[in-house]
Amino acid sequence: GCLNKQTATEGNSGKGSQETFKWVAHSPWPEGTALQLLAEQIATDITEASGGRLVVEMHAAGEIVPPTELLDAVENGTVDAIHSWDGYWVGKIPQVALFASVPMGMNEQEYLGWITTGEGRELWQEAYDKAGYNLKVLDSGPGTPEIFYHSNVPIRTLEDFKGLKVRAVGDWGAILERVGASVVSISSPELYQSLERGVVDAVEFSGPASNLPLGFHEIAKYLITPSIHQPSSVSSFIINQEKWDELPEDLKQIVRLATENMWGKGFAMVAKEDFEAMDEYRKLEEAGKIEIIEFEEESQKELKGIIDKYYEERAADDELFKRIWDSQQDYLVEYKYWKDLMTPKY
Amino acid sequence: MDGQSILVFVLMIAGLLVGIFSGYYLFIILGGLGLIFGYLFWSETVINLVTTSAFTAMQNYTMLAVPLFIFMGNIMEKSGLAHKIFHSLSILLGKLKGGLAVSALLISLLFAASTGIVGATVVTMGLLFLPAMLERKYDVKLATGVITSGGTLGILIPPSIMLIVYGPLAQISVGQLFYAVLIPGILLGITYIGYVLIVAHVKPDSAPAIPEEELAQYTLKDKLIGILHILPIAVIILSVLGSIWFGVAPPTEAAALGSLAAMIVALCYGKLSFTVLKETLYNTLQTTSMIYAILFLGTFFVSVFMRLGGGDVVEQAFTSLPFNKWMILALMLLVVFILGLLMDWVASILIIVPIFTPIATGLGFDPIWFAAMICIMYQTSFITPPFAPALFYLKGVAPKTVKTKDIMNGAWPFVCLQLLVLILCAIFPELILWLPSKIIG
Amino acid sequence: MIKKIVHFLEALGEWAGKISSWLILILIFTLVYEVISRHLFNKPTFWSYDISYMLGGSAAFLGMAWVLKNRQHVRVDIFYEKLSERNKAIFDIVLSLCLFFPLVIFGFSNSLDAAINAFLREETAATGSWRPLIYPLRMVIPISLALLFLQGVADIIRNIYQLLGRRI
Ligand code: NA
Ligand code: NA
Repeated sequence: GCLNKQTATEGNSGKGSQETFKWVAHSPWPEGTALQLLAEQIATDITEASGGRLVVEMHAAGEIVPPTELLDAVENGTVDAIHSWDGYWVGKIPQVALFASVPMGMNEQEYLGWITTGEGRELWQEAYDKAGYNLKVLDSGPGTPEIFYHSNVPIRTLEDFKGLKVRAVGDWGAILERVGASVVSISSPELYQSLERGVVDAVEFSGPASNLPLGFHEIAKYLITPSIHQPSSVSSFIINQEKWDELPEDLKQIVRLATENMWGKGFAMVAKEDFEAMDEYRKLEEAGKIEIIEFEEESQKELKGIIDKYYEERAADDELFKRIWDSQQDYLVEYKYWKDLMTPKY
Repeated sequence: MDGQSILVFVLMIAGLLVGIFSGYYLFIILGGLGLIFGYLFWSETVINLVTTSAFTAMQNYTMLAVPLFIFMGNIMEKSGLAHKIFHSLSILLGKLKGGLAVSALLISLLFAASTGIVGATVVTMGLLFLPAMLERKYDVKLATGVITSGGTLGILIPPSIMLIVYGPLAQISVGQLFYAVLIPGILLGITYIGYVLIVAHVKPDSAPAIPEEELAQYTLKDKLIGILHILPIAVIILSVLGSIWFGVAPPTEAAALGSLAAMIVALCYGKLSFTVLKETLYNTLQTTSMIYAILFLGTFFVSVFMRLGGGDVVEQAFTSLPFNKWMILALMLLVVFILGLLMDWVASILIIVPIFTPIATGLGFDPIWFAAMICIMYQTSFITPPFAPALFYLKGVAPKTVKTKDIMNGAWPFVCLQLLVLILCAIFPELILWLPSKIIG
Repeated sequence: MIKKIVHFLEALGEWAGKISSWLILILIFTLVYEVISRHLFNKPTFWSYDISYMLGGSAAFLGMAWVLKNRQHVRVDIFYEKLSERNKAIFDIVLSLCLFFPLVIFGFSNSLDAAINAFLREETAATGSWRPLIYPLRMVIPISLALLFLQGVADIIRNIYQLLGRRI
C-alpha cells in the first residue's frame, strides 16, 4: 500500500522546518450547511495544528468548480485538495460506489472499522490508482443516514414500489427498477415542483437537516424511514499528489489526523443537525401535518436479498469491485456476530 | 485577505467594465480576461477551468428550456402564427393606447411563470411581440423595456425555480418564500402596466392606438374571427403550463411539449413546411449558441475571480466597512447586479445566499423579508444595464435596426419601477411578510 | 485563392451549425417521448435524461462558430458603432489576437486532453442508471473551439483585407 511508501520519505521534516504551504481546497457543499462547516473544520484544524505552516482555504459549492468536476480539478491542480463524497464520480471510478452509496450497506461504525482497521483504506486508494488518477485519498468520516422517501402515497412494503413513480439515482435506481418501480430522472432544481405536481410520487434527496428547509413535507404527506438506500457513506479528503509529496512528514501526519478525527467529531456535528431536524418532523407528525412510516421489516429482508444479488452481478465483471465488495462482506461476518451478541436489546 | 486579492479584485472588475464597453464580443471579453488574469495572478492551470466551464454548461439540464422556448417562439413567428395573433390582438385592443404592450406584459407573465430561465422568456417574447410593436410604430425604447422587464418578471412569481433553489440555501421553507414574493410580484406587474398606460396617454406617439379609420375596416365578424385566432396561442401556453400544473411533466419536459404543440398548431394552419422548420431550427440554434457562449465563459470568469480570492474581498467588505445596515444592504444588492450578468443564476445564488443571509440576519433583517428583497433584486439585475443578460438576449433576436443603446435606455424606466417597489417593500415590510404569516403562520 | 480559403473556413462552421441545429428537433422528440412513455406505458426511459443534455449542449456549442460568422454574438456596441470601418477592423484584429486566439487555442488543447483522458479511462456519465460513455460529449468541446478558431482566422483575413481597402 501507499502508506508504507510515504513513511519512507521522512527526513526533510523535523522541528526546524519553517517552510510554509498554502492549499486552496474545495467542497461540493453549499456554504452554511453542516457538511460545509465540517469541511471548514478540517481546514481550520490543519491550519491551526500546523501553526500556520500549512494553511488550508476551503471553498464552498459553486465557487470555482461544480461538484462533478472536483475530481478532475484536484488532479490537474486547479485546486489542491477537495473534501467530498465519492458518489459524484462513480462514472470515472466505478468501484468508489462502494464507499459512497450502498443500499442496505455498511453503517457508520462498520465503515469506521473496515476503513481504519480493515482493508478499506488501501482498497480505496487502489481504486483511484487503478483508474489512473494521481491522487492521495484520505478518509474523513462517515455520512449520516438519509430520509428514505418523501411520498404522496404510503410506502410500507416492497409491493408498494410496484408501478410507483420515484426519483432515484445510480445503483439504487437500478435496484428499484428490479423491484418494479418507475424510476424517473429529475434534475435537483425541478425536484420540488415534480413532487408537488405529481410527476413523481416520491422523492429521495438527502438527510433530515437538508430536506427540512426544502419543504418536501409541505407537499408530500408521508415520510418514509429508515435510510435503506444509503445507511452511511465515507467522506473523502483528496489531495493533489504533488502537493501531498512536497509536505514534510509532520505536516502529512497533521493532515491524516485532522481528517481521521472526523470519524468521531464530524459525524457528531452533522448528526446533531439531523436529529434536531428530525425532531421538527416529529412535531409536524404530532400536529397531524405528516405521517412518518417505517418500511416494514419483512420487506427490508426481501430487499436485502435483491440488493446482494445486484452487487454480486456487478462484482462478476469487475475484479477490483469484487474484491472490495467481498472485503466488506468478510468484515461484516465477524463484526456483526460480535456486535449482535454484545448489544443489549433494550 | 491580502493586498494582492484586493488589487486583483479591482483590476478584474475594472477590466470587465472596460471590456464590456469596448464593444468586442462579450463572451470573448469574459473568456479572454479570465484567462489573462488567471495566468498572471495564478498559473497556466487556469486553462483547465475553460474545459470545466464548457462541460458544465453542456451538462446543464435546466438550461435546455432555452432552446425549447426559443424554438416555440420561432415557429410561431416563422409560420406566420405570431402575425395572425398580433393582428387579432391589435383589432381587439386597438382602441387602447399601449394595448399591445399591455398584452405583451400579460402573456410574458403567463409564459415565464413556468420557467426560471431568464433568456428563454425574453427571447420568446422578443420574437413574438417586438416586431409587432415596432410595426405599430411603438417607441423602440418602450417596446424593448416591456419585453425585458416582462420577460424576467415571471421568475419571481410562483411557481418559480429560482425560489425553489433559494429557499433551502437560506433555510427558509419554499412555500413561505412563494407567498412572500407573490404580492411584490403582482405589484410589479401592475406597476409596469400602469406605467405603460400612463406613457401611452402622455406621449401617444410612443404607444399609438390603431387609427379609427383602420379599425373601422373591421366588422364584428372580423373581430370574432380575431378572437378565434387567440385560441392556438392559448393551446400552446396551456400545453406548457397545463403539463406542469397537472403533473404531466416537470418544466423542461413541459417546454418540449410546448414546442411540439407549436409545431402541431402550425401544421393545422398549413404553415409547417420543410423550409419553415429548417429556418426555425437555424434561428433557434443561433440564439441558443449565443446564450450558451455567455453562460460558458461567464461561469469561467467567475471561477477565476473566486479562485483569485475575489469572493473573500467581497465577503470581507461587508463585515469590515463602517456602513450602516441599509448601506450594507445596498452593497449586497450591487453584488447581485454584477453576478446577475456573469453567470447562470443557479450558480450565483449558490454563492450569494449562504454568504449574505447570516450577514442580513446579524444586521437584524427578517430572513424571509430579506430573501424576498434579494429575489426582487435578482430579477432587477437581469435588466439593469450594463450587467444585464436579459438585454443581451433581446439584442440577439431583435431586428437589426434596434441598437443595444435603445435596449439599455429602454430598461431604465423599468429598473426605476423595480427600485420603487423595492423601496416600498422596505418601508412597508408587510407587503412581503403579511401573506406568508397569514397562510403558513 | 485567399478568397477561397476564407469561404472554405466559413463554410465549415456554417455547416456544423446547420447540421447540429437538427439536434434540437431530436431533443424535442426525445423529451416528448419520455413523457409519453412514462404516462402511456408507465415506463420511463433510462436514457432520455442523459441524451437530452447531450443533444442540447452539443448543438449549442457546435453552433458557436456559425454565430461568430454571422456576427451575432452579443457585443455592447455603444462606442464601437461610432468607429470608422477601418478602425473597427484594427480594433477587431488587436482584440482577437489578445483575447480570442489565446482562449480558443489553449482551450482547444486542454479540452482535447480532457476528452482523450475520458476516452482512455472509459469515463461514463454518472447522473442516471444508464451510464453511457461520456467522451463523445467531451469531444464536442475541442471540436467547437477548433471551429471557432477557423472562423476567427477567416475573420482576421477579412479584417486585413478591409485595412488594405479590398473586399472579399
Ligand atoms: Na414563475
Ligand atoms: Na444587472
